[in-house]
Amino acid sequence: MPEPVAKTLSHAGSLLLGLLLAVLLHYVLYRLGLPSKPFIYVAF
Amino acid sequence: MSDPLPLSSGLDRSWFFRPRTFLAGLAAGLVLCSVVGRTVSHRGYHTAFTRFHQVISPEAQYYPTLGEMCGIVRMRCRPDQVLVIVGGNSVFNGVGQPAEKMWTVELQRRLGDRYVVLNFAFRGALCTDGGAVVAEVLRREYPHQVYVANALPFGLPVPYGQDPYRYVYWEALHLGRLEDFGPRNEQLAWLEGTEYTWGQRFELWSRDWLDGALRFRDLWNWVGYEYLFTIQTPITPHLPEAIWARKRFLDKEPDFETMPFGDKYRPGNLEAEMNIVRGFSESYYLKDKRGEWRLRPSIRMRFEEVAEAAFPDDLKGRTLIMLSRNNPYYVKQLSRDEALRDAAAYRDAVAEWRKVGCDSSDYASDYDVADFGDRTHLSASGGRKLAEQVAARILEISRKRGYLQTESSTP
Repeated sequence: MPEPVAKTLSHAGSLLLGLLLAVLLHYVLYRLGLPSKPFIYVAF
Repeated sequence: MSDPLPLSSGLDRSWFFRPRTFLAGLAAGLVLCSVVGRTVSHRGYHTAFTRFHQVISPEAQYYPTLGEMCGIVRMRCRPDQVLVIVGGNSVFNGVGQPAEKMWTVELQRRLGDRYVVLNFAFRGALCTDGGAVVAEVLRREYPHQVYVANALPFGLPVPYGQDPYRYVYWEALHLGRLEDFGPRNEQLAWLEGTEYTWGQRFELWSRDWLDGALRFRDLWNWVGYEYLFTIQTPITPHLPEAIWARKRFLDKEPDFETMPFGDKYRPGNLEAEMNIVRGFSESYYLKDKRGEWRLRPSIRMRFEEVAEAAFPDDLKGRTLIMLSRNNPYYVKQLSRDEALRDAAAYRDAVAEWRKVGCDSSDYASDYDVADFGDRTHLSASGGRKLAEQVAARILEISRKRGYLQTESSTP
């Protein structure tokens, strides 16, 4: 594979991986912020 | 054996992975998520909002964010309209009233187009939860507003709300969206010192700080509402409903008016319900020398201290607290003495709320058994009566505060 193509592909792949991990990290932060058990409503 | 590639060559040692580009992608992804979360919540996406029914409430692991609720207001309320935010508990949420018969729909109908009524009441919430925080946060954006919520006589309106809805208060506080109000700050300092360890306080602060920057709750609530929900909950335990977008679930509240009487008033529950009704005043009162019920001084003092801190001073005048009475089916079974004590509790609690600067009234003293669906929740007919009473008070508050000056000055 010619060097410029390989270089472009590696940059694109690394960027995409970064973006995907960012979304995953974002989602994990959301889930960590939620209580582990849902609220159970009891009328009073 | 071949020589390793020199560092100065066109390719790094691991040619397929570019750490700097990866980090740039990571940063760009977080910024992108943050911008999307911020944008969608700011402009609002609950196009068919009625109220926070079960599927879009903490009962189903859906925690509406402050930004999301403000977005609902922006979608619905024009700047020239008076914003009416309804807070409080399941009674004001309209439990037992289908969406089309909900009391806030009737309130909107009575108030007309000059007003926009939004029901931000939650099941099991206090008058200082959810809707109260949203109203305060929007005080400058929507200065013509009325906040109305229900409460129990001498139930403490702690200014920081209660779990599981306190997260809205923390979010607003940590984002600096609340007024700096001394009495509330004192109450908060007491809470933080007694109920939270430093570790818990740090966790809350860091979560809200991080969320303020990255908006992960805003983004993933939007994804869950619009496209795909990712949490199994007791309300939607099975596939495929568990992952359905929350917007697919209609507000399907059962109708008290179609329930048989025996389902609403089970004889086996009578004693427990009567104990709750008595509990509305029992521990707050003692008899004086003349045999009349008097509010305990310690109760009065504590209530005044907390109620004073519940809402900032400049917002108290636009706050209406409605005290919820119990179903006459139960109240009429109180002894004469207990009924006198019950009446004193409502009379005194209304006076206390007015004393701290809020408007207040009780409701349901003249309602029928058919106006209730259980001990405390109203049927649609009760909701209509409540709406009539609340509408009159909102119009009075609007008049006093000059919200309708434009209309009255128009020839």
